[in-house]
Amino acid sequence: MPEPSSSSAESPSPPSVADPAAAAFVIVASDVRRSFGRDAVLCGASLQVKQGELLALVGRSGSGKSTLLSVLGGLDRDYQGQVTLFGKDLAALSDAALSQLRNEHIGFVFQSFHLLDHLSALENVLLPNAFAASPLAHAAAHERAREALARVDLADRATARPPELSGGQKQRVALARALFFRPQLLLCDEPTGNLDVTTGQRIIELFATLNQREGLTLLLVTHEPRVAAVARRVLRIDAGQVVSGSATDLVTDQSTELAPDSARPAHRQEDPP
Amino acid sequence: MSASNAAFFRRRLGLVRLIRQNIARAPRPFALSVFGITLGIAALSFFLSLSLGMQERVLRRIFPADRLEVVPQKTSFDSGAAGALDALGSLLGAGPKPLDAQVLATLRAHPDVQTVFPRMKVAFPVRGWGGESLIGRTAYLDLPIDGIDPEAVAPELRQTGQPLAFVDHEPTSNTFCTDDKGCPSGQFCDWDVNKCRPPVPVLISPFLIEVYNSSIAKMNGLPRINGFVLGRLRGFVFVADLGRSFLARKTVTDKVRYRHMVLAGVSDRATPIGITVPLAYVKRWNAEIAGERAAQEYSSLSVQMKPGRPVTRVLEQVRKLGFTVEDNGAEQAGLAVLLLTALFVLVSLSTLAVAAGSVTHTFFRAIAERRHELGVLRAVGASRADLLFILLGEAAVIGLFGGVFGLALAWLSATGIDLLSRSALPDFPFKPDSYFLFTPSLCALALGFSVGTCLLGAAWPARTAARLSPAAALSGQR
Ligand SMILES: Nc1ncnc2c1ncn2[C@@H]1O[C@H](COP(=O)(O)OP(=O)(O)OP(=O)(O)O)[C@@H](O)[C@H]1O
Ligand SMILES: [Mg+2]
Repeated sequence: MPEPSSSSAESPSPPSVADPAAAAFVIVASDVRRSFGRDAVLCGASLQVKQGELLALVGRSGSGKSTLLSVLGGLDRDYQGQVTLFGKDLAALSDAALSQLRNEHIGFVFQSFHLLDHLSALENVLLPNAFAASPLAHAAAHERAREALARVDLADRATARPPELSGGQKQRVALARALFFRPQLLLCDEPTGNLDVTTGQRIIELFATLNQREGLTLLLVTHEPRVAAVARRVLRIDAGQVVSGSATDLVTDQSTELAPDSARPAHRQEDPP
Repeated sequence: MSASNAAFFRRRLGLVRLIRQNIARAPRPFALSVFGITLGIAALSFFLSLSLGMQERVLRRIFPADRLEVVPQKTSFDSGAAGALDALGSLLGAGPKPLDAQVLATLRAHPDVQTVFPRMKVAFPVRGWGGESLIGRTAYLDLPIDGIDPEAVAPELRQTGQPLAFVDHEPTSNTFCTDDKGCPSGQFCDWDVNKCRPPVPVLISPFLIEVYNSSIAKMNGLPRINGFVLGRLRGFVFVADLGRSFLARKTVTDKVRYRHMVLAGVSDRATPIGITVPLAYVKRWNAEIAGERAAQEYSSLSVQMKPGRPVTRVLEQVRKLGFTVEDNGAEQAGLAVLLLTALFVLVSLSTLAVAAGSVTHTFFRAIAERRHELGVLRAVGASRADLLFILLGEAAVIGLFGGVFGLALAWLSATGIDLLSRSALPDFPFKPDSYFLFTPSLCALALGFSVGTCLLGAAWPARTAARLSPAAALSGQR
């Protein structure tokens, strides 16, 4: 298959674009390119995410899901192309402004939790407050952190340190931390990847609740078939581009991983699955 | 405005809390870094305080820095062409230029000079004797006498609360007597003229007391002169035979004078060898016994500089006028202390440099170990500036601890050495109670150096850490 040209208009159109004028877009990314050395991972990825959407991002291992998520969340600024978050061009933001955007408006949840082991669950949840432009006062911050922990059913584990928590508990602490400042956007990279089936199910239910009740916009990178039940649409990364996928992508994800992919970028070194 | 200030401080406070948590988590590398800095700062402040102490407690006492003692040119061949000319002059009978009232007036007019006090030596030998009431026998010794304007010592005597007047009593004395009993209390009979007169007030130098204490008293088993003994010695009366030498066992004049003298006090300005009396006495005695010329020429002029003025310009004028200043070794001693200080400070600074290097090393290692954590902080909203603040804050805390511990260590060693010196070292002139001086500015300097060293050491690793892309930090890749 020929390499798509650089223009986003010619690349597979960002899937299921409802009327762009009708809804506020939380994320608008067009023609995003990111390579590591000679290894081009994203080659003209484009997508748009509306306010209040819950969508799943799938793709083979190594296809660039995490890379895309980092770019969209402002964790990785070494990309070409344009990414607009809440109407702001990420490339134009200063480091301080981008950090503040992450702090107030974006929550991250990662497969490996990324908690700080030397802090208690409560202190982990409190972390974003330290970097806020105008932090909450001590008492208010603690109250909010406790609320956040209660929301993920961990009110009784506030003083525990991450090593004393189970995987599911850790992920819920991470979720509570991500929700501390009631962000508009939650970016999750395989949030259930390290969890057993039932625990993963609970986390997914939590996501669905947040999306439905509070209108939180969620972008989930996942291999989890059950996300299909809650996700309104599914995107797939293929050959460094974002194409629309279907619920079956979720179910068959594990097998596609092993399938040869003729559309992989040309100079891509093959990595073992 | 105040609301945003409050937010600013709350934010800083939150970051400071993170710093505290980070230090509490890894106390061992923290303690190691603190230890290195402690040693460097301890060495630095030890040597600096030693140097300060030597200057303030020893040198300053031996050589007051704000004074010059102007004396006639010495007629010696080794002082260059001018000296040679002078020597020629004195061969021809001219002698060195005299220090007279005119020179005094010229120097007094110099803008850098606060005051000038003339001094005049008694131009003939004097034998002093007395002391039966103190040591049970009469002691004799040759007594060089120096006269000084009472104004020169008045402030010092007032300040140290020495009660006996140091003034010229001579004109007020005229009652006829044959012995002391015939005199009003406080007066003595000077039997060469059979008149009752108040005794001549005498000042001695603290230097003399030091020398007495550390050598004469020790060798002869005599009591040391301390504050208490000095209080009792004050008012001690002895007799001076003017015009008679004890060592040479001869009289130089047919008109030997006898004067009662009383020890009035101790003064920095008193001559270090001999005794010091009000100038007017010396003028009269010189005129009477050695002739009018001896009563006109001063032996030296004590120049007191205005506070903070350098002596250089005055020195220049002194040389121009054809005089010189007494070389008391102050310059050499000061230079020696300075050089030693410089040497030790260099050694301490290199210790500090090593400590800074170890801070750099520790921070690079810590940052490598904490990459993931730094990535997490960035993900939840820490900016580069925040990471710099946190990492440099940790360095500053190391510096603060190192500085405080270093100062404490230096102070402990100094105290130990002082104790040892007091108990184990024999007395010597100007042996100080303490060789060290810890001033507030020295402590501030040490703390500043300590914190500065750590900040410097951590700057590079902290910058590297702050520049790391959050995604790379989280993924554990470059
Ligand atoms: N910092 C990096 N340096 C070099 N190569 C990288 C870096 N990050 C990612 N890559 C490469 O980019 C490609 C995409 O990685 P990415 O982590 O985005 O994949 P993924 O879709 O998230 O895979 P998985 O499902 O296994 O998590 C991989 O080949 C990976 O080796
Ligand atoms: Mg991934």
